[in-house]
Amino acid sequence: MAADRSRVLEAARNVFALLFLYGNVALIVFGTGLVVPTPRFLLVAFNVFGVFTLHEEINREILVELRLAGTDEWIVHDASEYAPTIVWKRLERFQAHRDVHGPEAREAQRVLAEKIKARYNRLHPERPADRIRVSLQTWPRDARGYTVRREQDVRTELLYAD
Amino acid sequence: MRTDAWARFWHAPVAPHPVAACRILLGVFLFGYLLTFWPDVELSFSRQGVYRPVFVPDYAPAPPLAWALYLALLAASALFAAGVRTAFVAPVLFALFLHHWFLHLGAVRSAHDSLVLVCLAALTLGRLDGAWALAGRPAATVSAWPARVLALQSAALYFGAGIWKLPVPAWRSGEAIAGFLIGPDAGAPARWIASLGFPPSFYLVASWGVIAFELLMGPALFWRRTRRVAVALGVLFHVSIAVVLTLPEFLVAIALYPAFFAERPVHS
Repeated sequence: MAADRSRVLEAARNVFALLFLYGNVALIVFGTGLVVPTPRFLLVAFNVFGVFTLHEEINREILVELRLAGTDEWIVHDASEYAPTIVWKRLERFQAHRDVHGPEAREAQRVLAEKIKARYNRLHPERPADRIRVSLQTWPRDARGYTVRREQDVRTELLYAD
Repeated sequence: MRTDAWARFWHAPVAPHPVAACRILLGVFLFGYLLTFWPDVELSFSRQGVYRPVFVPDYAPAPPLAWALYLALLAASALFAAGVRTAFVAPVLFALFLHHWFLHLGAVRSAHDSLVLVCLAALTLGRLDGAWALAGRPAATVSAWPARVLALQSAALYFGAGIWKLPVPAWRSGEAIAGFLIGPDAGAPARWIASLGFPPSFYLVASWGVIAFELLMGPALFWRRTRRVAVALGVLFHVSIAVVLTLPEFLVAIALYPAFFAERPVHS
């Protein structure tokens, strides 16, 4: 019985080791521009190599706007209220980078926007919102600070509006 | 013959301490990392939050259950680090982490979360309580398997990161590092370094230094003569990233270093 269990465990380890080696090699090779046929779950699991490879000369931030029900008044919310994390993670989440190659990205943005509106209405029943806009703001980087040029040089691109 | 070499490499008996050290470091890291989600459990992991599950339907629980699962995850991390019933706790920890990853963490392509997933998956198949465990089963030797996986993953992490940077023009020119120092998540130390006004050649050298470090780190960790120096440089590298770029998440890489010390016990 114990010997059977040991054999099963060793077999499981061998299968894992093969997937592990294949996943890592496939992803490392991917970085050189070559594509090796790889199941998506391996691509996701072993996608650990793109650390700090994105270089940008702009800053980006998410802008959330909610329209108060029955009025024309839009209120602006800091996106960090809904994704309280460092900026690049917030951008990944709202720009749906995991699904950047398809309509899934827009669906992801819709899901997040609807959840923001629902959460806002749950927390502010006295001032409910009936519409939401989520935008991406970009502005040039400046060594003096993250938001230094946000006021004068900002560009806004709509990601989702209901 | 080849099968024997495969078996020797993956399943050889080794001293239990390196794997135990990885278990402790990974558990402590996880506990600290997960603790940062404490103020946002409802927001991130409950059906009243703002999240988007990946690869699974939206099965987010109500806030009380979300809290219970989160606290269970914290407890599992602590028990894992302490070495309490690891044969049971490790798979539970993996399952709980996976739950939170599907629900929220996985929407971001974060290397450290993927690294944690791979390591936890590997450790569920290993004997982790052979040493330094509060409620473990002391053993003279354990299978090398989890140590081999962690060591190879660590080596691949550095080598792959170096390879991926090579085709990026901003890394070849040094602009990437200069850019990170004034990027959105740059902390005060990073902005201070940027304010010193180093010439482009400084960033060029720094950039190629990072790439060379990453390409050589794996071999340096595997080679016994350079291992201790590589560990020291690695710790310095990740602590620098944590302080300068306010990204402590990559400290998880340090948890894998003991795996390189898993060698056959002298008496075997």
